[in-house]
Amino acid sequence: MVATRFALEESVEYATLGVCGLKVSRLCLGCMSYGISERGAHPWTLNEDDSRPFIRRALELGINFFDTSNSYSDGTSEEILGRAIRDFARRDEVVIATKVYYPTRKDPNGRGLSRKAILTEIDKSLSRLGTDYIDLYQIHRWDYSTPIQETLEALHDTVKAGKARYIGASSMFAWQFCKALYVADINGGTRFVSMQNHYNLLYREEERGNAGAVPGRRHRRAAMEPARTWALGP
Amino acid sequence: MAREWQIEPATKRAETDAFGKSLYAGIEDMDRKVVERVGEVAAARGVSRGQVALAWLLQKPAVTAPIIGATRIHHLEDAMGALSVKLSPEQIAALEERYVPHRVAGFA
Repeated sequence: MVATRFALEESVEYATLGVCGLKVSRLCLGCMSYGISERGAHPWTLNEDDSRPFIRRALELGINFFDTSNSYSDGTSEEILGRAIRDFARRDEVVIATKVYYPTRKDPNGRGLSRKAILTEIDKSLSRLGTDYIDLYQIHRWDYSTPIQETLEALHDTVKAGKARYIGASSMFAWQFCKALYVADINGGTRFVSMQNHYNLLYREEERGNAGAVPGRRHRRAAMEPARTWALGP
Repeated sequence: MAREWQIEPATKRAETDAFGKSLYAGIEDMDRKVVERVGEVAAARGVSRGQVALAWLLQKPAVTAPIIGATRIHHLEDAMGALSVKLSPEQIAALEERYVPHRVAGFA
């Protein structure tokens, strides 16, 4: 267990994630680089022994926010993050975000955002992470083959079952995000609290209403957690 | 963006991240000008290029928490340093001035 320093007087600032009550550090450690390199689609990843010091150091620096996906390195990113959190932190003091959408199996239901896929994949993520709940459960992309009503109802059920605390979205057009918020609202369901998008000085298309989600996000007051913040660096 | 413009990929990820490459294909000449501005602001402020790039994001009202990747420990410490870098309006304008629209990429 490292001495985690979640005090505001330390160098990390914290912010609420959009209009929900969740407090996150102003930097999130992305865990796509941590995974078994022989598994999945990312040959650059660091294996477990080499990954753990980064999670530990992030905790020491006051980072409480960790992001991964069920698809990263065939699920091994979730496993590495879960074990490191168990060894170096207290579960309730960290915010774990993961995602669902990309294929995890070859059969046609082992992917996407159907009710069947979501309810299966969240249990597998919980098992790999070694935890009872995911703080922020995100849809990795828009699924054109599933009605958004079905996806949102399944996500709402994961929240009501205590398996997810909040739900978020990622990488979609502004109209899709706004539609999802609208559908959740008219059904009295759980709404997305965040948008994880691709935004940096070399890719600012998120600032356009017809491309990304920043205008929609600002209007609706969901949080934004941009990924690829260094644009193919460091 | 966190280092000077390079022709050859500098990391194994830069070499093998096919999706990442697709996000920046064909726009190198335009991006180079932005990267030069990042270097100029970093030099003027005495901070790293990566810190300038992160500080710009952190000052956007829409942004709550940029997601950082780290494969060297100093990446983490460098990123933390960005939290105390406050860019002036003139510096932000300089960083944004050379941007041109890019093809929308990365969605399903």
